[in-house]
Amino acid sequence: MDLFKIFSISGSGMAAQRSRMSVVAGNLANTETTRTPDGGPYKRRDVIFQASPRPGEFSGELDEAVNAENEMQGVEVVGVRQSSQPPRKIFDPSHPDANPEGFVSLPDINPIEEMVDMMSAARSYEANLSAYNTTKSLIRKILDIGRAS
Amino acid sequence: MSGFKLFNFTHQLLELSTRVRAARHEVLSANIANADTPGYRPRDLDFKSLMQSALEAKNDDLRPSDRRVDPLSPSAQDLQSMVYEPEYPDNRHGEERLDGNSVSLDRQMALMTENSLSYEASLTLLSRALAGLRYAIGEGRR
Amino acid sequence: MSVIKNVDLVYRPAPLARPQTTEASPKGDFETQLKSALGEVDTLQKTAEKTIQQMVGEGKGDLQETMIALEKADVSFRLMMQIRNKVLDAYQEIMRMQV
Repeated sequence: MDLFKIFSISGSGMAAQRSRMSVVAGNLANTETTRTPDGGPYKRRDVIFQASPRPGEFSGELDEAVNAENEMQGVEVVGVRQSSQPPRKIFDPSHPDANPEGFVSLPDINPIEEMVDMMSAARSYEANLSAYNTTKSLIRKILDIGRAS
Repeated sequence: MSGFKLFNFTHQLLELSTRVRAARHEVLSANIANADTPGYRPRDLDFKSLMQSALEAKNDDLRPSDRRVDPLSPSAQDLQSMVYEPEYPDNRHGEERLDGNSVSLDRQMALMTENSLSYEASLTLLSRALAGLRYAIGEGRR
Repeated sequence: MSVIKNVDLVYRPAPLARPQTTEASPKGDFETQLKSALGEVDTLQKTAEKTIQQMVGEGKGDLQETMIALEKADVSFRLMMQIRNKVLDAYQEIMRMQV
């Protein structure tokens, strides 16, 4: 029973949630960014999660024997996509990035949504951390077999 | 003493219990890791059936050769075959989100807590049973 | 004013409950007592095993019930073991005596 593989699963969960938090933080930092190197306002970014099998510490023989379909999978971030939503337009002719009609294009980012997303990511991160710690204490407990006299 | 066995049925049952609970821990950890993966549905391990068949095997040591699979020591594949996608009747469609994910983090955490406590209980009981054997072997003398 | 009853100056508590003594066997000899003690140890062991099987196999049963049953079986086993050792030691000492 490869309990160490479970670390890998929980670890992947933590890493994925961290990436998600970092992307959300980027969104929050750029709610007012009207100009990017690509031209145009900042576009909201989002992570793409995908389940993926994690290699175990002693993988190889054991993994071949096991049915790949039922394999327990961790998660990985396979990409970051940019929103294709149209930007918000605000009328502000004095703004340096205003278009000829006087409208400024701002990112379509709702800070409240982003905060909720951030909290959800933090919560998922904590859950993975808790699972990770549980695994650790289970393994410690195994090492204690026979110590009780 | 006919058929003396150092490790009796109870010991084997406890050992099976720890294996089963450890396997289920992996399944639940995977659920938590994929709490936000689009399309992912949570899975569980049917530990109840595994333990029930083992319990039923207690009185069957008359014909061990008839059994293809010894319910007291299932292989890794046997354990894996007990993984399934449960239907949560109180939340069949309630938990599914727009992206197709239906993992409830709270439920998974609760399941994991119960599972790890049961694991520790089995492990403790097994540990004490073995310690008792050691004590008896040592004739209770230091 | 309610009648004030006489209060005993000396507080006499109810007599302490005496610990249950096992019934003295009619013969009262050591062998009988030993056999019944062994029987009790065996019963406690079997009870503990049964509760464990119920809890682990069927999921029925109380964790504390199981742990207490286990502890009882354990303690009575250890006691019996010590008694057995003492009896053995006494026997060996007697055998060593020079006639």
